[in-house]
Amino acid sequence: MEFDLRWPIFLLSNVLLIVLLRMVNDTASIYGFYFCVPALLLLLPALHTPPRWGILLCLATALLYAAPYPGSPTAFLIVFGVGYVIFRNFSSQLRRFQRMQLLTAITGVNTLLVLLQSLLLAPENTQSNIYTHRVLMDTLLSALLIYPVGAWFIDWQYSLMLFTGGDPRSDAPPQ
Amino acid sequence: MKFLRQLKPLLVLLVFLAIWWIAPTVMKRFSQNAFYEFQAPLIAAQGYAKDLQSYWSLRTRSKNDLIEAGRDLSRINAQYQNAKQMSEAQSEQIARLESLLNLPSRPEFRYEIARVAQRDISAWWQQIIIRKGENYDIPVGAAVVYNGGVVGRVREVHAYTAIVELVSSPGFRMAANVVGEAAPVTYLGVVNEPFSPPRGEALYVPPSITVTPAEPRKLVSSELGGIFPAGLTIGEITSLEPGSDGYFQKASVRLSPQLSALREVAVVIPYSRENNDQPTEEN
Repeated sequence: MEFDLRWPIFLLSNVLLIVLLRMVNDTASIYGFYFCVPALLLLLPALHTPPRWGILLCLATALLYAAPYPGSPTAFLIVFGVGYVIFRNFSSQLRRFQRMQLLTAITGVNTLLVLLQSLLLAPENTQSNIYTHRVLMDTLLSALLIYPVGAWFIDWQYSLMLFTGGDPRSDAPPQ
Repeated sequence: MKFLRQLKPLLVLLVFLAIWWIAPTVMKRFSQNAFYEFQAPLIAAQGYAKDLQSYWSLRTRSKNDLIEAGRDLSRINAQYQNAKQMSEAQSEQIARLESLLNLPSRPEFRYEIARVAQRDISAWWQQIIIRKGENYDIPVGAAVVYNGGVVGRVREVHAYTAIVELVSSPGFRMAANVVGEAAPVTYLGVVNEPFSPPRGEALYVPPSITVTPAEPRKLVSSELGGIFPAGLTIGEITSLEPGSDGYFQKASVRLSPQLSALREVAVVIPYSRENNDQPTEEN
């Protein structure tokens, strides 16, 4: 009897990335900026899991991500759900991308998701110019972080899939 | 057919969001707590890892550095012990005067020291997670302070962690006083600019108060809020501008940069709350 280990691999990998990102943000907060990379958590689940599990995996990731934060996690469910839908709808093209093209695509989607998150979570009675400036700076720095971290994270998940007997190269993007 | 296949993930998402929207609040709260407690050991482990890192970085210091640091700390401890003795004498005098004049007693507090496990400071939330929760009877809404003044307020309490909303968080409100002035003002946290120290604002500042960048005025906590002990430093008022009502002023408050780098905080737990929680002898 074979077990599909893709979803626990992706879920635990997402947990690992969330924990590592929070450690980095712990230090980044001293200097006044924040990294936010929801798109990295959604790419491989959208490309390499059946839709019935993929969307649930992404929404579970959203609930994990949103658990420590105030308010309802609905905004995060929307952001992660939209990200999954985007990656899923373009999965055939994404599977043909080279690594740098893939990371650039992740950066573009991540920017869109962070801006969507900023619209949904905007504080009331806030100075819009300062808020916009802060969000744009965090978005830009997150986009720069995606290239090194995204390359490592994608390789990490593909390595785990190979280790557990999966065959990511059959429908994975070329190196 | 291809169009329907492309729409399928979006439809599934919309169905899930609809189910989430109509789900009872208790179920949403339960799932949020469950997902938080699932990752709480990792949050606590992160705090222990930072402590270990600090320990090994201190091990690389020379013995002379450590001896000098110990000597400086012993001097500060001696000053605090003197201040504590004076404070105890003044507390006894206050209690004597209260009994003579038949005045109600001021609330007393105890301090629960907690290590900071994780910091999360962004444009949307500013919070820290401390390594004590229900296991140390940390109450929701308790004040959190450090040696430099106000840190924030406990927003959520879990099994062995608690989430503290920082004083610089957008939406944080508390009653405050300008040092030397009797009129209360309202302090509120605001979104902070990138690469800049934390700041806040104060509303309803009386028009009689003036500040200059060279001579800022200190903003301290007021006992009117009922949560924070009076007189704790919040920040410094560096500039004033006319308020929206045309009479009161709005102040820009500079907070301590230490807020973004705290390692240890103290949760202020009033004794009156603990007495109310304990069952009475009659019951």
